[in-house]
This record gives sequence, C-alpha cells and structure tokens, in this order.
Amino acid sequence: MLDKLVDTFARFSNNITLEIKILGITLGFIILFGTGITFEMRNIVYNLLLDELDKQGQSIASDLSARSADLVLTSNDFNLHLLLRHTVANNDAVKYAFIINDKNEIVGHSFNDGFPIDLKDIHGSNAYEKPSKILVESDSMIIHDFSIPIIDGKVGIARVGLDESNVNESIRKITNTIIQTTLVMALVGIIAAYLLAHLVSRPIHSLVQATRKFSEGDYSQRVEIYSNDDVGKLGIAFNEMGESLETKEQENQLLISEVEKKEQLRRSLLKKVMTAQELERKRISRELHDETGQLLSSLMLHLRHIKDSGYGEDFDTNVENMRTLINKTITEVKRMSYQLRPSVLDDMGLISAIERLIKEYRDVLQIEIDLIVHGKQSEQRMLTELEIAIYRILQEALTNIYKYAHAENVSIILTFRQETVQLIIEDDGVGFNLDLHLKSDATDNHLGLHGMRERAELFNGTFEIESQKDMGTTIYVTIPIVYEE
Amino acid sequence: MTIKILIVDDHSVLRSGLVMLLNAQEDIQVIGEAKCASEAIKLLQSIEPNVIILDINLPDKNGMKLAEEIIAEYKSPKILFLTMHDEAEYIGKVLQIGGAGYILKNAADNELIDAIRAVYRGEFVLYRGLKEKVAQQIREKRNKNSRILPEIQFTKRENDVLRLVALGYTHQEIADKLFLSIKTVETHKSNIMDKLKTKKRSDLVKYALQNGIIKQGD
Repeated sequence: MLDKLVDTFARFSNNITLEIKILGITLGFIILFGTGITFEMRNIVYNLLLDELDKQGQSIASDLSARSADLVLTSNDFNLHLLLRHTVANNDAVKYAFIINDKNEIVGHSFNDGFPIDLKDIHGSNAYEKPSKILVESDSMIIHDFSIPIIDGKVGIARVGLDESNVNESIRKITNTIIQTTLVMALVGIIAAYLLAHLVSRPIHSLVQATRKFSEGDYSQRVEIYSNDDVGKLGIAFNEMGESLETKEQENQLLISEVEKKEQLRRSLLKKVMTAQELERKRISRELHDETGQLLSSLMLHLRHIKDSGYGEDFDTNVENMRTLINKTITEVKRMSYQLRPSVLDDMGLISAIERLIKEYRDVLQIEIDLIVHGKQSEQRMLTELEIAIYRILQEALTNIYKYAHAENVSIILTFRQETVQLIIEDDGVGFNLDLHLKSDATDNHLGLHGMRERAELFNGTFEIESQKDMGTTIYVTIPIVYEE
Repeated sequence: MTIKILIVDDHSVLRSGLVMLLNAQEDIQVIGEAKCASEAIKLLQSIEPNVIILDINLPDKNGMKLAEEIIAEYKSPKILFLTMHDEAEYIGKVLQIGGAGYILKNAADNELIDAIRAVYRGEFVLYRGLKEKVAQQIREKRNKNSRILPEIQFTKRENDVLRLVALGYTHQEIADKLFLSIKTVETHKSNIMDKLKTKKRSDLVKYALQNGIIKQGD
C-alpha cells in the first residue's frame, strides 16, 4: 500500500526538478503544520476562554445576588434598576441581568425593550436551591445564562446572561496571528528551501554538465567540490573516474595509433611480400628459360651431332662433353632449388641449414662469422614453420649485414632453453640510429626489420634490436619452442 | 655370384635408366623397384636384396628415416644412398645410422657401379668430391672449437655484465638489472672484449661456457 503510494508519487514527481521538489516538500510541511497548529490552538483557547467566561459569569451573578438581596427585601426598585444597569455596563460580555423574587416575579431587568417572558423559567424549579447555568440561543448568538439564588433562594434569584462575542473576538485575533505567522514562516521557508535546493542541486547540475561533456568524449572536464557530504563524495568519485577515463583514453589513443602504424606496416609488408613473390617467380622463370632451357637445348644439339656423326673417333669426346653439360645443368638446378628452399633444412635440420648458410656468407663476405649453438636440443624436431622462421630471420639479418653493415665480425648465438629458443646476431659494423629508423615511415628499406619482427611475432616470439652509429648492431629473437606433432 | 639390387626412387626416368645401366652389368641384377618408402617396405617382405639404392627425398618419408627402419628390421641389405645432395652434413648422418655408402646422382655410371661392388664387399663408399668437403668441414669445426680462451681477471661489475651478455640479455635489460646506464654497460662490454682480445660476442659466450659462468642452455 505504502509502496504503491511511494511509487505513484515517484512517477508523478519524475519530471519535476529537484529544486521544485524540495520547495514543494518544505511548503507543504509548513502549511500542514500551520493549519494543524491553528485548529489545535483555536480549540484550546476557545475552551480556556469558555471556562473563563463561566467563572466570570458566576462571579458577576454571585456579586449581583449579594448586592441585590437588600434592595429586593426593601423593594428599592430604583437602586435595583441602577445595580442592574451597572452590572450590564461594567462588562462587555454581559448582555442582560434581571432579578426574580421569591414569588417568581420579575422585580427588575436590564432589557430596554421589554422582558422576553420565555427566558424566565429556563432553569426550572431547582433554580431557588442551587446555582446553575444554561446555554440559550438567540439571534444566532449563544448566551450563557447564569442563575444564582439570593440568600439561599429565600429572597429570589439573580440572573445574568453573557454572550461569546469576546471569546470569538479573541479566537479570531489568535487565528489571524497564527495565520500571519504561518505565512511569514512559509515565506522564510520558501527562501530557505530555495537556498537549500540550490545548494544541493548546484553540484548535481555541474555533475550533469560534466557527464554530458564526458559522453561527448571530452574527458578533461572536472567538477568543483563544494562540500564533504554525500554529493561532495560523489563529485570526488566523479573526478577520480574522469582521471582514470582520461588516462584510459590517452592509452586508447596510443594503442590506436600503434595499431594503425602496425596495420600500415602489415599492408606494406604484404605488398612487399607479393612483389617479392612475383619477382622471385620472374627470376625463376627467367633462369629456367635462360639457363636450364639453354643447357637442355644444347644437349639436344649434341645428341643430334652424335647421331649424325655416328660411331666416329669423336664419339667419346662428344659423350664426355654432354656429361659435362649435364653436370652443369644439375648444378644449376640445384642452385635454384637451394635458393628457393634449402633442402638441408628439411632433411638435416635447422643447425645444419644455418651452418650451410653461414658458410655461404662467409665465402661471399670474406669476414668472420662465428656460430655458437648451446643448450639441450630435444630429439623431437621443432615445427618446420618455426625452423623456417628462424632460418629466414637469420638470412635477412645476414643480408642486411652484407648490404649495409660493413662488419668485420659477426657472431651468431643460438641457445636452446627449456621452453624457448633464442637467436642473437651481433655485428661490429657501422650500425644505425634506431630511433630515426623506426620512426620513419614503413618504406621499403625498413621492411627487412619489420619482416623479421613479424616472423618472430607470428610464433609469439619477441624481436629486439639494439644499434648505435659505429657501435654495431645486435638482434635478439626469442621464440617459444613448438615441436612437430 | 650376382649382386641383387632394390632401387627406391620416386623418379621413374631415373629408375629405368638405372635398371638399364645396372642390368647391363654381368654381376648385377635389379630384382625390385619402389617409388616410395611404403612400397619399399612391402617389397622387402618378399625379396632379399643385397644392396638397396636409396634416394633421400621420397614422397612419403625421408630416405634416412627409411634406412634406419630397414637396418633395424633386416640386418643383411647394405644401403647405398644415391642422391642430389652434396652437402657434407648428410654424410655424418649416413655414418651414424649405419648406411654403407653415399653417391651423388651426377655420378650415376661407372662410379655407381664400382660403389655397388665395393658396398657389397663390405666397404664404406663416399663420392669422390664429398670426401674433401667432409674433411674440410671437420677441420673447420675443430679449429674453431679447439681455441681455448685464456682465463682473464675481470672486475666484479665486468663479471656481472659478462654473465648477462652471455645469457643473452639485451644491453637495455642489463642496464635495468644492474642499475647502470646503457652507455656504461656498453663500455663494460667493450672492456671485456678488449681483455679477451676479441671483437665477437660469440667469444664472450664461449668464455662464459668454458669457465662455468653460464651453463649449457642457460
């Protein structure tokens, strides 16, 4: 029931701002309170005044009874009349006064236009024995009629009528005062409530504004903290959130630019791979055509010659020439095959292939290339793709050394650890400024390094390069070992 | 007494050439041909060749691996590798698995026939040009490995740097670990190299291994 009420109220007040809510609640309470107080006060004061009226009426009636006794006994009508007049004149509330003698006759009254006869016997026959009071209604007024026996009823009865006009006047005055006070209080309340609402809503407003900025993507917004209360704590928490969001945003931006850079690299790498593949195909096709094809054609010619000349003297020489030619063809094909993919790698494993590669470069470059392999190698072969990756990285590094480094000494260290294999290639050549190199765009001549990194990262490995001008270059590649199934 | 031959090679042209050449010899007879490893294993259940001529590159299995299996299963046949590969590395492996000879396909005439006879007699045959290659390679290896670096007195810091360099840390990582600048690390490293009278990182690793500063596989 209460829940429903709260619900309804909440729904109703959904669209009302906080300030109006606070104002409404304050005003409502003040008015409710004022109304309650007014009614309660009216009741209390009314009852009190009525009591007071009763006492007053009794005392006036008693006084009249005491002072009228002699005058009634002596039938001093004139003085009795005066006394009655005085009694009425001395008090606003007293509307009338009259005296009844022991024979139940009116001996004197204060009415100007005749005594209303039905008023006389309203107290009944007991009126001679004890005082009493009766409410009489007349002319839309309530009269409190007091009756007091004169000398125990032996002489007669003194009667006084008091109306409530004084009481009503007082009540009206009190009510007015209370209403005025309530209104003043309401005004003060409105001002106070407005101030309070402003105090409460100001930080909330600024929070709302800052939140809007946040949703627009501006994370630099902070709110001012006015107090240390709940709202203040909210503000502090909000600022902290802004702080972390701003950092996150910066991190995101950094990551995005990194990803974009990587993406660009990847694209140019892909392009390079495709171009390289085409170039390679072109080269193979040309070599097959120019070299192997030519050799085979000349073999044809030789055979033709042998056929023509028959078993002559030259037969053995001709055959020997052909054998030489064939040998040359075989060597040529082998060279091409090795360049495409060294079969040593597949047949004899990574280390043999690396040794072979190093020997080749040693012969070409005429420099010292040292290889150290240490660590325990598993009986199991590593994944072919992984071996190729390591082989190609080394090949690329050696090509770079060949092209740029002008090195005199090259060290290659291959370490097999528990779970990783590490390849270090160090030369004492001219080196280069790494920062400049990596910052520059991913143009062609930088792709070698990125290609090596890509190969390493493809196998969840890491690729580090350290170089300085005239200090040589060191490449560190560490890749988790994956074995052949 | 004829020498019975099984030829295992995936090139049919080469196979037929070989069959022609070998069957022309009085003392040699080809009793089987196989184009892949599985076919060879199947054939071996029914025939007993004296010599198996084996190619290394087979479509379904490496010839070396097949040779190992055959030697483990059948003691008698001698295995003579006939291949395109002239790399010295292969020869060590052939010796290791118990092959009887290693001939290049370029020499597939008289030298091959001589080799078959020699292998049959129980000799180990190696292609002429390859002997030089193997010898040279072994020489090279020994030269390099035998070079023992003299023990040097290093400072404590130099020892730390040497150890980390030999362990394969980057200069940056060493600098971070030892709370030094990269420059200082590089200076230490070049001092170490000067003391060892070398310009190669490999010698640092070698020294560290020889003197127990690092262990194999560290």
